Amino acid sequence: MRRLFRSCLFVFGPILTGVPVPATAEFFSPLPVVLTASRLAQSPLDAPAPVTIIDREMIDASGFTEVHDLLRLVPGFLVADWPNGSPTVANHGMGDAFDRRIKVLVDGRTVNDPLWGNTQWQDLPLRVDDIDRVEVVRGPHGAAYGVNAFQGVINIITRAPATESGFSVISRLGRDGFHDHGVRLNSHVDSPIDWRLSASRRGARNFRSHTVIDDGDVDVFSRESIRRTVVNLQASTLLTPADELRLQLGLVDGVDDRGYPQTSGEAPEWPIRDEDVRARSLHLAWTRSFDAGREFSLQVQHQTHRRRAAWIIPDAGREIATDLDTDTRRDSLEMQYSGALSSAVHFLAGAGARRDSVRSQRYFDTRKRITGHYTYAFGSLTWQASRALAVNLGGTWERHDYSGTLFSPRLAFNYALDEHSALRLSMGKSYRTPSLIESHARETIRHEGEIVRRLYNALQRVDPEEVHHVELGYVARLPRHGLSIDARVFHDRYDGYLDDQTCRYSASSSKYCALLGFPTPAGFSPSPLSTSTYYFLNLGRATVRGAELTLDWRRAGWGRVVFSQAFTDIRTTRRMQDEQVGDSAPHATSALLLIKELPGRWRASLGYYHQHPVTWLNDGGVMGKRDRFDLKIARAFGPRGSDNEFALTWQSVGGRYPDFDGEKFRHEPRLFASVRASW
Amino acid sequence: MVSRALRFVLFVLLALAVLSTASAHDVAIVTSRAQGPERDVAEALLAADGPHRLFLAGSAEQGLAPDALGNSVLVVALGADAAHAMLEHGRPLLAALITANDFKRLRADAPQAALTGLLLDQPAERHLALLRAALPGMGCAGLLLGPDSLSAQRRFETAAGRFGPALRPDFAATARDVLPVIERLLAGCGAVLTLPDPVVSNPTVARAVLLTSYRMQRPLFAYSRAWVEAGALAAVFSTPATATRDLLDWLAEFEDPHRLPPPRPSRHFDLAVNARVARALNLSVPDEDTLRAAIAAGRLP
Repeated sequence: MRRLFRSCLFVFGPILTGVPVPATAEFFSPLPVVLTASRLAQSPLDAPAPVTIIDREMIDASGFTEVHDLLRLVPGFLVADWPNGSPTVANHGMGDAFDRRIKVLVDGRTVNDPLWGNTQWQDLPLRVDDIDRVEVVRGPHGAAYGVNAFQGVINIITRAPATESGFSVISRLGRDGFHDHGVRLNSHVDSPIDWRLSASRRGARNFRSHTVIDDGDVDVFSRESIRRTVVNLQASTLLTPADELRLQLGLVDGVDDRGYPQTSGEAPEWPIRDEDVRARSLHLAWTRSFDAGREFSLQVQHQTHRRRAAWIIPDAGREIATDLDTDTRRDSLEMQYSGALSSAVHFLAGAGARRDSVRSQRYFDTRKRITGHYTYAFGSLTWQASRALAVNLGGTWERHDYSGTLFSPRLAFNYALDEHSALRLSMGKSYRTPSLIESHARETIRHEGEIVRRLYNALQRVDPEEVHHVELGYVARLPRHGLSIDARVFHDRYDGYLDDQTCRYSASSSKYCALLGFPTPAGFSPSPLSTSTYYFLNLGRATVRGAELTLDWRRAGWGRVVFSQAFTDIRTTRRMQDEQVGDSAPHATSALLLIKELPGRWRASLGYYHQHPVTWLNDGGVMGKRDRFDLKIARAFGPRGSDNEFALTWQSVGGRYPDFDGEKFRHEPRLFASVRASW
Repeated sequence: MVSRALRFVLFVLLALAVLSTASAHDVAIVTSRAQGPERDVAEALLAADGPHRLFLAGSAEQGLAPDALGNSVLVVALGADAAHAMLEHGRPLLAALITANDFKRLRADAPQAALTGLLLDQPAERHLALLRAALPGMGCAGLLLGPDSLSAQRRFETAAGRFGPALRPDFAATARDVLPVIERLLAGCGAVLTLPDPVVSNPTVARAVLLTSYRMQRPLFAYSRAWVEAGALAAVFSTPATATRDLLDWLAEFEDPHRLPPPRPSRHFDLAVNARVARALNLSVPDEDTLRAAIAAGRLP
């Protein structure tokens, strides 16, 4: 320790005091390891799983201003938005309004919602401008990320504050009230603490009420506008040359204006209302880098999310008050160590604990907090068996107070065909544990003490979903040709698919709950809003097979083309086919991002997204074949290498487009001008 | 008779001359600090066989005894502080483990002194040879310069003009200018080389520079092993071991304390490549031995 202190004093002391640094110090003294193994993105040639990296250039050129939209660039991924809740993302089908099968992390912090297990994309405490890159694992990867890394993992990596300095303004202004204004303040490069404070306000109308007239029946569907204020503070400092402390604070406040207009014949239970949203997050991490290959990290996180929404349901002369108030909270602690046993054997090991809790009178019919506790340990070992062959063995053991003990293993072989290309064979098993809704829900609307509605209803014990996965991949990175190729075929077998089913608290119904062993709850009103209730159960097996291809070609001065194609086929048991699970992935999807450099520092980009027909499950519906075009034209200004630009972006050139349910919802297109400048 | 006497005198004079040139000198070694790389080099010199009688006279940090330099005809000062301390003693002085800028300052302080230097700086040609060997297809290389390293610009431009690659120097006057300059260089060139400079390459700035190079997916070349371990792609550099070999070479050639050769950069060098960074940046870089051989094969000073 004294030696470390002396070394630290020797290197940093003169800088802090302004005394000239001795030449021997400049040449011979150690520097803090900056590009550690954890900071460097693993080369796809070495990764034990299929990984897509959406880099800064793609983010800029895509014109997307919402984080979830970036996932349109990932082969096999589907993105949808709907007016009654958060946007949703799916990979290889089984997508519905709550994307709980994909794990999402921001700088290593899991951000999935403790209530549903989904991601509140619009409440993330960051903007696309804060993102350095998004690393997407396009398949199950419970061995490395634990349970719920079930159909994919999305790791959002923000820009290191040390790489920016000064003051930046980002302003987007568009049609139909769209606005997105942000400022970023950064420490200067010689500051002992690197920090960035970013703040933004945005507002957008995502959906207008869509009217459908069918045989004289008029249906008017819900609308949605959102407003958000986001503040994000990141700070990092080197306590010693080897020890880095990082702090992230995120604050999000906003309002969702959504619901069905009164003219709608449908769902008076969901009238137009304001839903106030507030999210807070704190992430503290300490990293000790012993050298470029050995690192220990300890991180703690705390996050809360609050939603406040209250309204009156008029029904047969009654005025039934209800709300959708929820308070969720997550606290977690994780430690991790990575190192090498020899030059050929590298390992990573860690452990952590997490506590999720939710308070919602509506969802659980109690004022008490519902909690879930998780402890886990994980490890992986990579053995470079020969110059060409690497073997990766990993697994996560997790103890879950509802689902018990689960172990997710993975075995992967990476075989280098040459310096620039490799084959990958990997297989494993992953789990998804039921969310607190699926395990504890008693979603209830009461009136004068009686239950007038019971919606989501955890009537029976359910098992975790599990997937056995195997894939064969080919990755090539050919720098001489500016070309990267990523192709794979996969076979995933899902068991215990967990879904909601309907029964009725009505003896006259063929779906009478009591016949299933679910008696009508005490205090159930004789004149309820509805007798139907939604209970959860494990339905059966789905087998998903498919292939994916990504070609990424770039040439300096010309531009870049990123093309992705995915084919998916789902086979299910009959019961699941009744639920349309077999139709929940399009047979084919394509994504093309074309970036063309033009003279005079102009740049044009085109995004093309195509998907075959698909059915979004549960709250969603059938979507026909769809093509979407996005355009962006930008001109850089100011010093070369800076981010400064003027731009005009048109998302969905074809106008309003069907989203999530082709019959009910039409997403608004976006046309806006933007300016981004730094000083 | 006269002729025999003359031949004898000539023989004696010749023998004296030969003996005087081949004779071992007393050489004092003074280090800047009592510990650290200067001391390591001093001990390595003392342990090595050589034509002269070397002895450790002390360190500038702890002060020298009045007669510490004894009968030495040459003082080898290891480190800039030691060299500055030795200037007042007026003996012929070899300053080692210093940079070219250190030497300039010494010379400015004592314009008439019998002074020469053995510099830690690697020649520009060697740095550029590494860039060419590591990234043969690179269009141009940026050169990050600060107030101290600005003086190297001409040397690098001259070397690049002869051997390549195309060089784009840029200057950051203060630490706060470094980010825009490095962004500009990385945006326009395939790699950037940074040189020793207290403003543009101190540890605080190094962090920002390395993270920016990774963000922009372009490699950084540097001048020490520490930089490579921190995240630079590669570097040629001096180490205490190479500096010792340079000093031993110099002392082996040393004859006349009154005719010191001009200062010179390192002849020996070490080299390091960060394979992880190369992999992460999708760069195909030859291994260290191949690069070392490629550089050594070039005719460098």
